[in-house]
Amino acid sequence: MAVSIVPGSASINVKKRPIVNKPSFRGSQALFTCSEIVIEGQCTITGNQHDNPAGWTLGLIQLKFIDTDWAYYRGRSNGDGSSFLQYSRPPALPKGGCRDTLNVGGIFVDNNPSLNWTIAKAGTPFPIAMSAGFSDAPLRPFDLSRVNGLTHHDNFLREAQTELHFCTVLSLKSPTGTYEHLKTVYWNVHWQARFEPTNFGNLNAPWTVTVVGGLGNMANVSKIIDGPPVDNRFSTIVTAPGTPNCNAQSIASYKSPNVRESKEWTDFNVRQ
Amino acid sequence: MDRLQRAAIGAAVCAGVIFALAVAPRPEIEIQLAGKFGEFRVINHGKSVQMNSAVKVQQKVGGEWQDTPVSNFYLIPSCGKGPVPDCVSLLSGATLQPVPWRGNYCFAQCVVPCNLDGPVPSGTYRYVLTSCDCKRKFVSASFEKK
Repeated sequence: MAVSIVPGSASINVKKRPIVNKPSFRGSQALFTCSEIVIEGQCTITGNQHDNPAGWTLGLIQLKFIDTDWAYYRGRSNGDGSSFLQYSRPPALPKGGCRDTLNVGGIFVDNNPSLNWTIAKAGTPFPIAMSAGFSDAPLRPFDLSRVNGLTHHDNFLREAQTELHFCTVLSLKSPTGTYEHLKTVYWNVHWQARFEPTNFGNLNAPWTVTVVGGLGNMANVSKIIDGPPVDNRFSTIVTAPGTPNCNAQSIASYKSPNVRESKEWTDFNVRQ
Repeated sequence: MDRLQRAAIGAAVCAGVIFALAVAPRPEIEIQLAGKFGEFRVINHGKSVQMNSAVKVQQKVGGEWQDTPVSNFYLIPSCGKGPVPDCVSLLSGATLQPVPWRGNYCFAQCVVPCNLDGPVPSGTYRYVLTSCDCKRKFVSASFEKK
């Protein structure tokens, strides 16, 4: 008998669901923040007395497969122009999903080493109960103003939208590096808001913020799905060595967004 | 004569060793921990130097210092001043007080678009700086994260 999973022992529990917060301000930036999602998973492995449990690892893999991130800036008057910063389209953000780890190239979520995974040790008697967990609270910052390169006048944050969709997979890794994906849950966080300074000469003064209703500001968590993710947008990248790192990608895209500018107030196509 | 010279050199070397043992030489780059958690100052007691702007954070685990995946942590005096250069100049005698570390992995210092983040676990940590040519390494005293 080889090491195996005790039937029915694998589960994922979303212990805490995220809640998106109303946009806040910190220094010269507006922030989209949320409360943390807390996800825990567990399973039990078993084997016979000759099997060695050393190296069997239970962990969570998180992929981001949808990213909408843009900000629209507008001058105080029409002649000051407008700008559109797109963070989530190529070349700012390459197409395709990414894997969410702190260590670039990592597979399992790794933001709390004492909780993120269980590695079975040699000599531990079967059955072995294993657990994995993490919490996460994505965020996005937007500069309150920028200089329009065409008009050389300040443009002020007028509207921004972020939608982040994640797929989190409970996975058991064998000592030889084979992954068995046991359970999957999808979750997302959405923000959209319009902004206007109350004092264009002092951006530290309070801003008028209007959250955009409907699906604009909310968080969702799916039901738990048995087995691996089947959508081919991410089923091929779950453990692929070359899967990009989400944080590295997002930080790079915010450093070098796709910028469109206009000499007047323009309705930019946010889908491009 | 030759024997006398050798003895004198030997004494001088020994004196140097004794002196070094008695009074640890002040490092060329001193990383001075300041009052609150995360705060620190970098003081250049030597010649002007180009420093790698990235600040590494190491944790003591089982008696060994290990790198942590803390990112977006730089030798910058304030946030929101544009892109961070790879290297920063530290003039002779200069003191730099960077924006403190918040104790997080990704939103470590200034706000950045994090997907995955969280506080580092409780434990013993230190800062590690390197010169821009990566030939010299400077470490802070250890400090506790609760």
